[in-house]
Amino acid sequence: MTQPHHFQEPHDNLPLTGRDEARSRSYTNHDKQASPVPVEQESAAAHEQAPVQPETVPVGEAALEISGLVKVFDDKVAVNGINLFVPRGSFFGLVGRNGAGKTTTLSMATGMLPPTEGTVRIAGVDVWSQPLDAKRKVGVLPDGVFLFDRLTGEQLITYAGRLHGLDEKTVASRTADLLRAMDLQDAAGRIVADYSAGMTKKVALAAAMIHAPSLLVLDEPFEAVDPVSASNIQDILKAFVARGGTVILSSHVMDLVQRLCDHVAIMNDGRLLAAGTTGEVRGGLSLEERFISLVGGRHEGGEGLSWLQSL
Amino acid sequence: MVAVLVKLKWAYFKAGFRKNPWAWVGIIFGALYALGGLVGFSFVAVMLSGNPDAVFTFLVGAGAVISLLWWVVPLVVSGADATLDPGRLVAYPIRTKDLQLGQFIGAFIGLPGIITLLFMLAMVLSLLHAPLAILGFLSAFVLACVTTIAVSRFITVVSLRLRSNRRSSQLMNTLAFLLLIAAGPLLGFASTGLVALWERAPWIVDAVSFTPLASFWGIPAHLVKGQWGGASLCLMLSVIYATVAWWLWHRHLAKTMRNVSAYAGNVATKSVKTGDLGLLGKFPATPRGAIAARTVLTILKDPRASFMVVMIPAFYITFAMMNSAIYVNGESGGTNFFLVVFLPAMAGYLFAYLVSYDNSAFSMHVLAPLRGIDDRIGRATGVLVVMFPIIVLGTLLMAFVSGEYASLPIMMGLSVMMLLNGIGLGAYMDMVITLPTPPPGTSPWKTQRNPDGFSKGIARAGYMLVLLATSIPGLVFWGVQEFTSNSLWGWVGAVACLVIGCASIMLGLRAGAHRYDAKATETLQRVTRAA
Repeated sequence: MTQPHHFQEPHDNLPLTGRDEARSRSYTNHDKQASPVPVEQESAAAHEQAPVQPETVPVGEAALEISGLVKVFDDKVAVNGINLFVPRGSFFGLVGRNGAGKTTTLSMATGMLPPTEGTVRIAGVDVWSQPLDAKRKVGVLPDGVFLFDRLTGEQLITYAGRLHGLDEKTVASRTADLLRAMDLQDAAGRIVADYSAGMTKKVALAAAMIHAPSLLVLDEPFEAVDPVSASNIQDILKAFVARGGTVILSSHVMDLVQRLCDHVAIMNDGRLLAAGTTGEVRGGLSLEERFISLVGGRHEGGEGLSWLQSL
Repeated sequence: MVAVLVKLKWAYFKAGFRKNPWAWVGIIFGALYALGGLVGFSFVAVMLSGNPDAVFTFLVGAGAVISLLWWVVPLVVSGADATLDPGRLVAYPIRTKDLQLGQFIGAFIGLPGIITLLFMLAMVLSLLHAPLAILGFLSAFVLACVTTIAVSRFITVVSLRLRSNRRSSQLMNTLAFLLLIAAGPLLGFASTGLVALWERAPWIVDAVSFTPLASFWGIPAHLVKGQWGGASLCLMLSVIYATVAWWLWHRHLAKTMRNVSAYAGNVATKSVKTGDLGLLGKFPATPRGAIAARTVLTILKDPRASFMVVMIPAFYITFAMMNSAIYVNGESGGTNFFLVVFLPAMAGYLFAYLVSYDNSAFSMHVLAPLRGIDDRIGRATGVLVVMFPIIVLGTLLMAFVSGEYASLPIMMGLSVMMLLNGIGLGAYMDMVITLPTPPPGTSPWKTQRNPDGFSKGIARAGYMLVLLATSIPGLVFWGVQEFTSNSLWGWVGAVACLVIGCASIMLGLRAGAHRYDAKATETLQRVTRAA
């Protein structure tokens, strides 16, 4: 039975060298520090002094394992020591405010951005020491990147398949399947530059799936996607998880994460505030309420805008 | 409201200089250049002032050139002034009238506007001997400002609409490039031809003085010659032109403000049948083959790269034409270095721009289990497929035109070597430095701020020098051939060039592949940040 675990750690202790050894020796050594999901006081305001450093309990095999991950841009600390265990077969949601470090974390986890410190393993393969092996196992939908948009949708998916070294027949049949699954058959012959935002998301998702990865990392996959396509994509992802695949997605939409994901992690200011199964992290509240109580930053609605009223 | 818009334009102009020493350098050099021109221009004006016919030609000619510049520039430079772009301001309750007036006044904020005003004012110096005409000049000045800016902005608005269609936008870019390339020979023709035209047909100047290009300057020009009828006709025409131009501008600006999103580039290009992989189906179904096919598509279809495909043959053809003229006169062409060394080197060095053009789309390569050597060889093949035939045919054309078939082997050897050297250097350099390029989907004319600063800029120039210096062995053989008149040297040199070229492309691809394996992620961060 998995339980959320949160243990205290001095702020300046990150990242720990030799941390890996500790982890591989035993995961259970965190148990004695285990506490319920952190209470509000520990969160937003208090974590300067007493950083909450929760992590999921490793049970079974890891689809993705992050330890001591740090990213410093010039003088800004974007990710401040993250440990995360994503069990194989889970549907994992990563939530946080804008600038919380979600995209930076996912970029480092997928081999797009070299971390300042820390290690990332995808299905046991170290992303930064054996990049090619790791990249065969993961499909990534980055947020806000350009695509080779002078290619048609069909060409783009084919291109992705060929970059992965798949043979011609496999690429052709999978491309046809993916186009059908994403409702892009009619647009297959049009260049991606002419696609709507939602279609672009879908074709990028298809390109991320063509090599049949065991782990899908999706940054904001439903942004700008219409409700029908979103439902279809959700079905595809659920089926993928049901067959043993793992999905990690980041999102701002709490209801969607609550409904879709069996595990969830809450990020703020480059750190994890809570992680675990969705039920445990929620602790009886809705995910949105839980998120806001942990992250803070809410103020009384409409306060000071008394002039904003229709007459 | 107009004041707010003008202040916005001024603030934007000022902001361009903050923390940007290059903008200062640019404006100081621009200003010095313009001032130099202005002094010369004023001097000519004063010199001519005694001769009514000369003053007439000067006023109408100079005025027409200024107008023409204001009319043509917006065609070439898309969104030259986006500060008061209706697309950005449409969400605010601004009346078309106010926006129009704001754009009008805003047109004079900035170096081009100020220089134009100064040149226009300097034209009065030619009227020192005709005080009456100075009165005419005042009305001409006001009408000139209104008409020139109004027509210019009208053309901008209309071209904005043309540009919203990707195809016509590409067509306009290509045309503009061709015009630029042809400008040299055209100017050469103009300088000799125009003098003859001037002497033979003063009536052309006369006719121009009644067109919207210069009718306002026709007022003082006719007055200087004592032609009251001509002057009043010009005044009448100028008022009509100004009114019509202002009205047209207003109408189209209003139309654009109502339909801003309609011009956002939603014109679908043609669709191919499902299953038609185009070039991707013609290349081997391997990572290298796919990258080669995609590189060819980028070079041919992305306007940022495709201008090279237009420009390089255009250079060969232009210089072939010029050279044929020069050879007829019995002189030897001084263009060989440019055509045989510089042009092929640039064609190959296009490689170094490819990842920058990809921008963050390069992430697809980084995320795939792709070996550096596959990426490098794929891109190199793509560049070669497009550029090799162009360089070979261009060199053949040069030899054919000059008739110096004895030099063909060494010319061909040099050209091919420089193409290969360019690719070899580019295949390594793009993993080391980032060449600043406009992001995908923007105009190739958009100037890109250098993300790396001054020192990297110097380094980039240094690499180009190194690249050009690799031509020295070939040039030596060529020189020896010319000196000894023994074509054997040319043949030996050609073989040496081919060996060097093959060695440097192999070396460059290997070193580049090695560096790709180690640094592709950092390159991705760099090209993404440069956007």
